[in-house]
Order: sequence, then C-alpha cells, then structure tokens
Amino acid sequence: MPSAPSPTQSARPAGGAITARGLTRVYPRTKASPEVTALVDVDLDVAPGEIYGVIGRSGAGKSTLIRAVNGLEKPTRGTVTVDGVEITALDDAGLRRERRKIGMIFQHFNLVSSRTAHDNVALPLEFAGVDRRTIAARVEPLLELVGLSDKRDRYPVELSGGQKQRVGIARALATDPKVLLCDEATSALDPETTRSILTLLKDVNRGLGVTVLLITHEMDVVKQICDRVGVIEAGRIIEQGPTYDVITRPKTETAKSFLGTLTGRELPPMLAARIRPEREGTRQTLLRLGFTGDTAEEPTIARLSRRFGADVAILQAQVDEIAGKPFGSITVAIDNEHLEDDSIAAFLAEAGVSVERIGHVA
Amino acid sequence: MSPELVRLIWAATLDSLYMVAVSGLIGTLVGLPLGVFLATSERGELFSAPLVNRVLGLVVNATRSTPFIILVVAIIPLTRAIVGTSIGTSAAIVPLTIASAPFIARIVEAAIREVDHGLVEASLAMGASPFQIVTKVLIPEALPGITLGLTLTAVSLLANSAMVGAVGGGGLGDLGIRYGYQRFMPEVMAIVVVVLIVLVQGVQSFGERVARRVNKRIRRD
Repeated sequence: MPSAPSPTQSARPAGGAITARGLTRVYPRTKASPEVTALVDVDLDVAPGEIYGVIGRSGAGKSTLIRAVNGLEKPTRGTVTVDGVEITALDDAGLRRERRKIGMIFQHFNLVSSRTAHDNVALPLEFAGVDRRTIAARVEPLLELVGLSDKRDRYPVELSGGQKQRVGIARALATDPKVLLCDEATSALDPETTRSILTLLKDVNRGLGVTVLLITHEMDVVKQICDRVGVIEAGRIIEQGPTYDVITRPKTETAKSFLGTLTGRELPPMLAARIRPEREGTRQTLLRLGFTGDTAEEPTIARLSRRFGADVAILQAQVDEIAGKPFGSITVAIDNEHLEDDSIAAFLAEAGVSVERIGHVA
Repeated sequence: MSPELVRLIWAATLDSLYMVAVSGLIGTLVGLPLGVFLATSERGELFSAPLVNRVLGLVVNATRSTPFIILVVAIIPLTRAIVGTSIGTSAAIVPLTIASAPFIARIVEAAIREVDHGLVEASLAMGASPFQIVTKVLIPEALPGITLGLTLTAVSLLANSAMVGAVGGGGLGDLGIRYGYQRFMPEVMAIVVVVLIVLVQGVQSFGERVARRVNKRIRRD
C-alpha cells in the first residue's frame, strides 16, 4: 500500500484517495473519425473524504477521465490508483472486485426499468453474491437515507428525475464504497432538483466520509459542493486548487476565459467589440473588480467615487456564493484621467479588492 | 358433424399443439442463448468474438432463407438419425425446431440490442460479470420484446406445422389436406381453418397479455 495514513484519513476512515499519474488516452482512428486524444498526461490527486470536481466543456475529456477511475475506460498510458489499489494493473476479476468499492451515478440514472426502486438498490449486492437476508437489511436503510422509503416498490417509470437519481445514489452506496463517481449526475435535472441532489451528495460525503469525484459542465455544481476543483480543457487539467481560489483568482489565461464564460463574467458582445488593448486615443479604462470574502459586503465603489471625485460606470455586476463564501465581480469604466497615478489602485488594494485591467474604450 | 370427425379434429389439434409446443420449447432453449450471444459478441462488447459472431450470423441467415418445405425434405437423414424415423408427428419436430431456433435467435438479438447501453455500463461499474449482466439485466429488460417475439414464433410454427404433412407429420394441416382436399370434404377444410384461426387468436392475445405484464416501462396508474 503506497499511501501512508494521514490525519484526514483517520478522521474520515471511510473515504479512499484517488490518484492518477500521466493519464493519457488516445482513441485510434476509425472509418468515421480521425485519431482523438481525449486525455494528455493528466495527474490528479483526490484526498480521502473530499469532494473534488472536474469542470470542463463537453469534449474536454471529463468523461474519459472519470471512466478511467473505475476501469470502464482503459488508458493508453498512465496509472490510476484508488484507495491504494492500482486499477490500471488489475485483471477482469480483480477489477470486478475493486469496482464494488467504487460507486458510480450517471446523468441518465441508468436504472433497470424492470426492477423496483428496492430491487435496483439490491442489484449491486446481488452481483456481489450477497445473500437475500443481508440484502434486505442493507437496502431499507439506504432507501431511507435518500428519502425514498415510501417508493420502495415503485418502478423507475413511476419516479421523477430527482427520485431516480436518489435511487441511483442509494444503489451506488449499496456495496459500501470508499469512492463515489458522479458522471454529470445533475445535468438532466432542473435547478431546484439539482440543488437537492447536491445537498444529498454533500450529506453522504460528510456523513459517510465517502470521497466524491464528480465531473460537470455546470459551474453551479462546483460552487455549491466542491472542496477542490480542477479545470479540464482539451484533455489537460489546466488549473486546480481549492474551489474558491480557482474560481475567484484563476491563474492561467485559458482558465480565466473559460471560467469567465461559465460565471457569466463575460461582457456583452457589443461592448467587448469596442475594447482596445492600447490606451492611446481612448477616454475610459475598463476594470474588473473582484470582491472576495468580507470585502463583498463593503460599499467600496461608492467610497472610491467620493474620495477621488471619479464617475464610475458599472457595466456588469454579480454576486455569487462559492464554496459557502460570497464573491462579487463588478466590471466598471473609469475615465483615464483618474488613473494617471496609482492612487486608485492603492485604494482598491487596501480595500482587498482584486483588479484586472480589461482594456480601454473611446 | 359425426363423432368420428370430431375425434379426428381433436386428435389433429392435439398433434399440432404438441409439435408447436415441443419445437417451440427446444427452439427457445437453443435460440435464446444464440440470440443473446449474437447481440453481445461484436467487437468490444461483453463477449467480444467478432469472428464467431459473423459465422453464427451466416448460419442463422442460411437457415432462415431456406424455404421450410425444402428444409423438411433436406434434413430427412438428420431427422432419421435423431428420432429413428422420418415419418410422423415426432419426426416433424426436428425440422420445426431447426427452423424456429434461428428465428427466435434473431428476435432475441433484436430485443437485447434495444436495451439501453447505459445499463450495461452501470452494471459493469457495479462489478457485474458479463454473465450476470445477461441474466439480471439484459434478459429481464428485453423480456417484453422477447415475449412478443416468442408469440410470433408460436404462430409461425403453427403455420409451418401444417406443412409437415408432407413427411407424414400429423396435425391440423395434414387433416385439412387429406380430408378436405383429397377426399373432397370441404366442411373438414373449413373446420380446420376455423380451429387454426381460434388457436392463433388465443396464442396472440395470451402473448400480448404476458408481454404487457412484464413491461415495466409503461406507466399504469
């Protein structure tokens, strides 16, 4: 066992770590499509007991990545280790055994339509050869955990999307897994149901200590439950870290533009077209101000306007809650003359506001 | 209608049902696994064996494209080897079975292919073996389609069984030809047709009822 017990592990004994090293997946050329490289040298470290989100556009490689974790996808190169077991080195029988420690839920739920809610949850236990009495004793509490005790004898067709995903979650937890993989688990659900499923996932994570790895293209999912996030683009994880840091202060340009589109911080196209990179011959400067934590509640813009006698035009503004903390983003236009010296920059820095110069407009 | 005629028709009906039941049963025992294999053995599937898949597919197609009456005559040596004789109701079961098994196989294959591939994926993720996926997921999910297919098979077996009179197999078809046609007794022909219609109706509505019963994809409140 390569992983030494860490304090996190002893606090949450049920969760397993997920480690990927140099994960690369190339789909060979077929008659219908050219060679596709879905993953390039991906390194991933998910700590025991955390909720880790991988966010990316469709086609970025998210699905390939999460499916490599339970061996549904065989990587071209690289290794995946889950709870100390190298998944990529297992034979078929070993893989079947290890998969019982890795639960998975899906975008389209994938419930067996000919089985009731109860029997769907029992399915992985039947696969594992567990006897009838043990199955009955295990399934009831799981249905209770996901709030579906009264639907035990219902068939999937009689359940709503949210209820189906709850059955999916109970089923994924039936074999007492150390890791739960969520493949776009809320993408087919409406916003309200999404929130309730995310709350359930968080409860499961905190209550049972199960490590959660999820992939999504929805920023709201990451903001609501992920402890840490990785941004995937063209098969590479271009940035990762604590959710709040990555979303509020992305380091790379790609992550910035990508997260910008997702957080709605992108400017309206009409305005964006007028922005010029050079100051020469322009009247105003556009700044994007980021308000994190406590600063999000301060009247900083009003103070700036009074102190410097500067007119501040607000072009776009938004307040968000990310990983339980508020984050505000305001795009403003200020006349160039006020920015001759560094006094406004100094004022904003002192107020704890991050400043990003976007460009200039006439 | 003379009691003698009633006795004849009753005996012929029993003969027909016997032939259909036995050949349908054996046909299913062969056709079901064959169909499952055809549906799951292409490259990258559960029991990936593309070459075997192709060969079995060819055999199935060849059997299905041989007209039944030719099949009956062509396999007389085989029938004799299995049953000991090539004449009679039991002997007729051999060609009926050989014709029904590939038919059932194709029907099962189509029904299994209709099952959402996501279920196979989910089952694999749960640690299921390919065999478990077949027995616990694929066949139960395909059951409505398989049931309707077996109904179809039973009806076509009934039709085929009328032809085995050619090798001295009994049954309703044989009765109709011998009495109705060769002895100029049109009323026997008419009764045979009526009995066949009733049987087909019965089989069809029974099959549909079972198929509805096992179909959990339709909501019934």
